[in-house]
Amino acid sequence: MFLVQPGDAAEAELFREFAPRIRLYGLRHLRSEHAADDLVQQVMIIVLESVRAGRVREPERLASFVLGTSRLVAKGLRSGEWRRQGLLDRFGPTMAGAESEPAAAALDLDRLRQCLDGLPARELTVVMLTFYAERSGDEIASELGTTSGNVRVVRHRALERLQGCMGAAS
Amino acid sequence: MSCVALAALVDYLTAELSPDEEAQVEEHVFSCDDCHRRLRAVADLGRGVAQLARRRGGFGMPLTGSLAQKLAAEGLRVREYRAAPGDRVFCAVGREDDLVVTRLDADLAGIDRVDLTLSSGGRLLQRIADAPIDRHAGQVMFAGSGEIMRTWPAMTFDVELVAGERTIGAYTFVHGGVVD
Repeated sequence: MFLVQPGDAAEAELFREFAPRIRLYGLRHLRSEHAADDLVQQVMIIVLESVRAGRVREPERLASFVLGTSRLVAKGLRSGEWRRQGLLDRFGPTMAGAESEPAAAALDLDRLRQCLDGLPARELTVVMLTFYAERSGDEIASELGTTSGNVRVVRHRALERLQGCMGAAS
Repeated sequence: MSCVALAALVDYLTAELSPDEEAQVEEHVFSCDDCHRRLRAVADLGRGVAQLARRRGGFGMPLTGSLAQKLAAEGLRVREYRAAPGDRVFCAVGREDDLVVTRLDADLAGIDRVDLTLSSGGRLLQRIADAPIDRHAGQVMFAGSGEIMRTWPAMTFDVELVAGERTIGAYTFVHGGVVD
């Protein structure tokens, strides 16, 4: 028995469930929005093909399979080897028909600005160096004359404050 | 693995986890809807921070050299002033400036923490506690939003860097308003 039937609405649901996870994985490992989008396309092609072919039969193993595929394809993308363009034709409609992420509310940047204004100076600087300047913990530590462990603690505190201020549950 | 703490999610996104820890977080996030949602929320905050930093009009913040470099490299219009202790600097903000960056030289050797105070006419306007020190540049830096500074009248500011009870630098900025 197949996990999903070919062409099933469940394939679109699979895409909706896993595309955001793959994209986050791609952002973390490939450090580029474009590369992350590419990763989503390539991984979902393989996943859907495998599901259709009955190679993934247990629902409880699907998440592991998707993650494992993401790792493999990301490695290939980094080395420039990976292309499965031909399969896009078979699965394009499935992916085109499914929103990769539910229409999440756009982040309230004005509110975020107020929240950032409320951060202690050191926390704001670490947050900016982390997410805007994209500096590593060691680089930040060197620039600020502290330890990378301290940078992590300051960063954690800042994110906790920001989430609290923005109203998100951590 | 039980659900992932916020600290670990942040460390995951910033590549601070060991390979084993990273693998554990990924395996969990791929199967746990709640942790995936929380990870996305942190990632979204990070993206929002970057968007705000790039916004035209500028976002006032304490700075370091690498932040100032990146802002300028990304095309924000930055006006810079530099002052040594005792300096009186004539300054202004341009009509199109996104940021006005102030670099304060001081003897920061052996100092772990410095507070910055901004006063005018003897009245304290702002105190930045524990202002970050750029150890590479040997300076304390901050950026004012151009958008906000264009609303200021011409006025004189006194800036002090204070370490504990000791003033390690006092600077005067004579702000002339908006220039073309």
